[in-house]
Amino acid sequence: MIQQLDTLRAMRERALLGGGPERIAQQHRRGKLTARERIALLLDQDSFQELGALATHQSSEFGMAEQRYPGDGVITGFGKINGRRVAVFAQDFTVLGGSFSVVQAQKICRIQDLALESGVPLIGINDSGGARIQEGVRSLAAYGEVFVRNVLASGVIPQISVILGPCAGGAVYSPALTDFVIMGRSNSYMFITGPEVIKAVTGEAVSLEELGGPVVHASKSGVAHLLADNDAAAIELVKQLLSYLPQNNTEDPPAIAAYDAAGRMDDALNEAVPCDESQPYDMLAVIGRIIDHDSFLEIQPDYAPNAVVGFARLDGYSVGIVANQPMVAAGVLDINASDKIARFVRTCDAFNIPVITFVDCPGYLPGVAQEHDGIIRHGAKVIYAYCEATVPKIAVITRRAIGGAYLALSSKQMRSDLVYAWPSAQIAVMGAEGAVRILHRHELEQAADREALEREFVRAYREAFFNPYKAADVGQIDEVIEPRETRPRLIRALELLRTKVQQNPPKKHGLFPV
Amino acid sequence: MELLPAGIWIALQGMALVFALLALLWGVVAALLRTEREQAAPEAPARPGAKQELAPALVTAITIAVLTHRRLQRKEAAPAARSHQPGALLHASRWVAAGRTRQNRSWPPGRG
Repeated sequence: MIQQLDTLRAMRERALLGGGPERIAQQHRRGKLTARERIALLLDQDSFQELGALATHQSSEFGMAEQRYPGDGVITGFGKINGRRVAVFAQDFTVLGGSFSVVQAQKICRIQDLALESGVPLIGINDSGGARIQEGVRSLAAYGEVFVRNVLASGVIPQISVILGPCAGGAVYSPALTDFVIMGRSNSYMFITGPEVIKAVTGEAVSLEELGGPVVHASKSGVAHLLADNDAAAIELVKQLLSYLPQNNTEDPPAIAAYDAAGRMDDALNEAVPCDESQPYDMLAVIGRIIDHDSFLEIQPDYAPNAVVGFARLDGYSVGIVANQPMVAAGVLDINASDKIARFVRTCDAFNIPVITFVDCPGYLPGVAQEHDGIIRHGAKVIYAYCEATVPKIAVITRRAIGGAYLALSSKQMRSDLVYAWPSAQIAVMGAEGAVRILHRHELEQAADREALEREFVRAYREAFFNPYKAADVGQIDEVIEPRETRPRLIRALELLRTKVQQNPPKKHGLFPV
Repeated sequence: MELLPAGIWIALQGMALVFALLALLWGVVAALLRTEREQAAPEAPARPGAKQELAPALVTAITIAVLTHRRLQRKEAAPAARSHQPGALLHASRWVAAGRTRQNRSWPPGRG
């Protein structure tokens, strides 16, 4: 028995070394942590239970018989983050470049199954050169096994992907199927085909960074939700993100003891919206004055910055915040902003997180490019997401809620539970100038002083429609409130809605306008 | 009988010597205790406005560290900051539990 134990211990020792000390040193020289170091940072001390540490591949072609490492390039297991159970896998770049093999897939699938059956979040740390070419089609099929589990777990347990190295080819679709993607600023990239293939096929010359670097995915493609300066910061973001999410779709997110007075009113909010409606203001500052102090975690801050989405806390409870940002393109809804908002609302709905919407939107962005690129289809996503969501939904109209944007952004008709408006709210079918030119076309054409008459009509239109009281009269607004009252109002409303239950008609699944 | 005075004298001398030595010992012990007490005298409790023993920079650093730790715990929803354990359904009402069950059921019973 002693000899058998010695054998086991020696094998475990070897597994701990991954690809060997030299490759570990190389990984450190690149400014990256090893897979085991990342897991150690992520999980509570001594909570990690590894599975499949001694598994190795069965290939012998292309000299693979001599390249057997215990664990086969991925570390899988379960553990705890701040006392919460989680499942985790981390690809080990020191072992054959973290290449994706059949054994890797089996290990990852095992942990995916365990996570789904146990109803615990799954965190994947990706650092892999791609499919293991030596294994041929078996390696490709193995990706499919992971994808199907990503899809089945979607909306049931939170799935978070952390990209801290290369992630190319088919490998990109597993993170893309998860709920959140966090990328390291200095060491990660994601693409379907690399710069060399693109050069050969289309003739376009592009660098790795320009093609699939973290900045590109955080600001242009929208693939990445958060960026982190280094491995440790990325892992810290995972912990923060998880703090707003429940263990699974039947549970509530963890609430924390309230540390900011529920009745706090910030007088500065009464002056947050400029009198001159053409002047922008920072919606992030408004949100910061309403939510629990320092509790906002913005998601996709660099993608479609004309919309703001993120998690926050109100009286210690997790909430999802959706807002227009008047500082960027007047907070208009365009294709990317629609995608961003729709995805976030659906994420909140899946995980029982109430949605608070701050509206200051002049409408959907007009333009040929937007129309041709499908603003109708993408804009419909926002409507679909709000209508479908059964979590508590509250809207606060801070200034403009014009046309389709009024309707789409959590209006009463989108099954919002409560709609508040600030006295500065302007709710109308369209902007004053446009409306006057349509409504008074004949009068304006025949007027001696067209400009003066138009100014007069615009003033009258504004007086009639650019206030919240008309909408309140017809029941589209529940209450017009002082801006400083917003925090206590929201907290009391959420207290009521905490036990809200709403059921959609039975169906296999809706046809989301993708 | 003639030895009695001598005996009493010797006894008195012995007792005097013993008591003298005991008095000396008492004096030494008392002196030692006084010295000890003076050396280990407890510091007077800090009064508001009294001079801090810790350097202001150190007090600032400790305060910042405590606040940072508290903020990090809140951000991570660490156990110390939580009002209930994630996954615990003790806080959820039956209404919510039953409602969630209905929400997650694709088809009503008997139609599957």
